[in-house]
Amino acid sequence: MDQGINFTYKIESDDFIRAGRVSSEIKKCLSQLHLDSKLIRLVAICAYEAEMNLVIHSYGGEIQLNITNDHIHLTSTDVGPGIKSVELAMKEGYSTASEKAREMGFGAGMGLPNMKKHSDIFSIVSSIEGTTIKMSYLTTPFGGQ
Amino acid sequence: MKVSVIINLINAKLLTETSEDVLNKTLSSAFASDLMSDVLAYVNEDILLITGLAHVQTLRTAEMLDIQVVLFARGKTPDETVIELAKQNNIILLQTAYTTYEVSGILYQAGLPSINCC
Repeated sequence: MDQGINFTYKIESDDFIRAGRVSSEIKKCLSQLHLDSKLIRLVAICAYEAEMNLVIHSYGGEIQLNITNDHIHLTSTDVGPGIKSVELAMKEGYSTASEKAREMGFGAGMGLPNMKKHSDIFSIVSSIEGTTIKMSYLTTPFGGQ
Repeated sequence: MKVSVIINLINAKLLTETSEDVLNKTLSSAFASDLMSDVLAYVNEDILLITGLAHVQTLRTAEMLDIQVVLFARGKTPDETVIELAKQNNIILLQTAYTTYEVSGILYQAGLPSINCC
């Protein structure tokens, strides 16, 4: 099976100055692959939301980018503290973001719903040990059929 | 609506380099928000982003969404890092003393519509 190419990016907790750099790198990386610009934008939005979530809410984590022949997979993992209620966190407008995050224009409670909206496949698993969010995108119009 | 027209209507200052291409750049809609979360959620076209948030995350948001023109309202002044990031990503930065409400009113009345949203 095609394993594709993998990239892993570390994200520091509370690093509001560097926040966004990883998503910028991911976007630039995808731009070199001659993919549809709309698709690149969707992946970039999700990467950025995931990155901001790691900076705002987690103790630190990483974003993995996996590119295969017909898919792009984005995975965000962190080492905690976990989401108390995933059901609530998936609701538009629900947020536990800090004042600092809100000053940067975040914490509107749109992050997770936005990631779901902008990906083809979305899954989230959370416990006190950490949260894993997986997002996938089809890169060929007919899924390689 | 051309960037040059926007500049004239709201007496804006261009914070990034000027050129014929910049002044002739045409926008078909605008969105005003200080909440980058909402910009990320609702914008999916090449718009004029009107905001009072002169922060590096505004530029990151614009970069992710391929937004090419950002207007800072109510005289908000970005620092050098923000301007540098705009230059790196070919984003045009404008600044005006008008409030977000005034800017939106003036540009809307002059024919620049909102995005299709919500």
